[in-house]
Amino acid sequence: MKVKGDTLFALALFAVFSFGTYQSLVMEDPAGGPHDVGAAFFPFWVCVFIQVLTVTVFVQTLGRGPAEAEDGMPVRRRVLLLAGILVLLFAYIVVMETVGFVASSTAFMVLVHQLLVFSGTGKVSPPKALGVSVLFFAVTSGALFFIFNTVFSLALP
Amino acid sequence: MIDFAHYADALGLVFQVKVVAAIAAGTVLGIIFGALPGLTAAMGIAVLLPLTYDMPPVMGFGMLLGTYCGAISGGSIAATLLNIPGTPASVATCLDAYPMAKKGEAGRALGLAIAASFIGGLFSSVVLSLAAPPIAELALEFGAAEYFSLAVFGLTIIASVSGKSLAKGIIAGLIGVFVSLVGLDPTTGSPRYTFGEMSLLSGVAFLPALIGLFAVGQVLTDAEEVLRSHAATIEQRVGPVGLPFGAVLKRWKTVLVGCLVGTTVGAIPGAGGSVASFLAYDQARRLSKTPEKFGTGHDEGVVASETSNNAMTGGAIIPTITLGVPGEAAAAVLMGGLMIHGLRPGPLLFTEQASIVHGIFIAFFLANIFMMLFQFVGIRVFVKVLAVPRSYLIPIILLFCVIGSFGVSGNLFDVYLLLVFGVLGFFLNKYGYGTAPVVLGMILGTMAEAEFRKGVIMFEGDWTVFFTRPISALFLALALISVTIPLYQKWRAGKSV
Repeated sequence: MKVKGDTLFALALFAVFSFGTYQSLVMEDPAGGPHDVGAAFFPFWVCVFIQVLTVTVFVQTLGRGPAEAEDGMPVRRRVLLLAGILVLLFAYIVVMETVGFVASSTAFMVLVHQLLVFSGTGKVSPPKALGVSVLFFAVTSGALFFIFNTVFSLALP
Repeated sequence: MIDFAHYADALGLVFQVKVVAAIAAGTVLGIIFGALPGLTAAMGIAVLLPLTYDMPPVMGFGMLLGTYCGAISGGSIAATLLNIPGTPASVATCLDAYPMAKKGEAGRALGLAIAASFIGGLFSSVVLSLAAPPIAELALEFGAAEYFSLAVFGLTIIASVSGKSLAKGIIAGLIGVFVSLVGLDPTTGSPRYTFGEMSLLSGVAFLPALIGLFAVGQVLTDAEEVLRSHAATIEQRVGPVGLPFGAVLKRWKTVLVGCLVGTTVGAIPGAGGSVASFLAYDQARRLSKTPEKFGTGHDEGVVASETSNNAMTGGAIIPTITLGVPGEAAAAVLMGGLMIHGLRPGPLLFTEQASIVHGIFIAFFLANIFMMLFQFVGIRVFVKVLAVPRSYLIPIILLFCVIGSFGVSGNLFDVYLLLVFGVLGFFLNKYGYGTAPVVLGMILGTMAEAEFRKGVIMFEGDWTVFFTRPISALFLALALISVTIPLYQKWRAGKSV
């Protein structure tokens, strides 16, 4: 049986909030009683409610027919695009302080742009288009650094 | 009663070159955000938040108000020319504006939309300035029980109108409440879900979470669109654009319906622009002498939808600033904008920062005027924005998100939070939970827990006060109704909850 993403997401939420419930039970300051509400009171009940509701959603979505028709996009490209953006964003955050704002931002934006172009067309940009995008994003990074760092006094790395 | 002394002070705060310029710039950027399908008003405000960090409150908040008004109105551009709503608030506009464009009347449809948006926005601006002070005065009487019940009511109504199913809406709202519980317990000071991370002791930073949910989550959803098309192709010629105020005002009943429905729906937490425009469209059709023309390119359809969605904006700001309960998703982001300027939304804002509040009223009024002027003058430029490839826009938006998260505290941990909430927002959107209930849950969760525990301590563990104090009981009854009505409707329709 093929399990839908919706069902898996409900299951994932159930697992996360089961852990949340467990954590609320081992908190330093317990939930307490009705006349002495402790720090764990709200966390415990919120997690329990979410668990109950995710079970409801899980059962509902498991019982339904096949997933809604996808829009015809190749699944591999979709996954590549989303995972790629997230990996690039993560890498950008990691290197930003070391490499500096302008260089890391330019590289980040060029790579995201290339990823989007590749996902859309299945081809990489020709050298001339790549050069234009590098120039465009370098100017954009520099302009944003000037605006935020100089005009708005925001401390960027 | 109108307090002219505060207005006099506020005029001085607003009518400075840099403040007026900031409101104007926010409006232009808002129209651009609204015009681009997939970029919502909430996302526009979230992305532009970092620009306002260093500004004085009225200037910064005025810019965000301009973005809000501009985005909601700008949504009609894509609705008219592409049959794709620029923002969810313009869904009903597509029904008549696009058929008009297909008949070669795109300019007329856009003109009607701009004029109707202006009237709706102006109406809600007047209602905001007249209704907010007495509501804030009434809210001054609220105690712990009333605030707790108000938060419960806010959470239930948001959950019932936001998600694709009631269960998913409530889950999303409760996830927001859960996020608000992270950090040191405000009463006992014991850590909750911090896992030894110092940056979490003061709780999950609101702005990175907000930007992650509304902007990064939306960008990830939107990025998939790139696989389908790089840029929009505009098939219709725009033609001459006028401002047919006469034609709009001739349909005064439709205008009145749009204004009243829009402002009222806006003031209901969680309902938002799409609900307002569809409801006004439906009511206008019922009242029309020519209901059969609706959906075929009828003036009244465009007027009803566009009047109501801009009338919704002022309505949504009323509970946001008077009670600290946002009227819709974009208003929640606006609330974040207020908080970064050290302003705590709620009734005390009206007594402690009265000039600023009145400055906000004037800035909102001014934003509506700018929205009409810029859209009318620059419509051909805004139309060209539709053709900008997403592959260039998305990286820039992501960069703004990173700057916005990093800029608040200069802490990289906040940027990691942005990433986490971006992924969460993507999945919540994908599976129909919605991101608005999460943000509203974060705001109301803090209020609910603090007031509940305060109430329990004040009334020595007597929980009955939540049900016996009249206003508190009223809110709890409304909360019960807001959950049972959708349940009943779905039960009758034979659908699952």
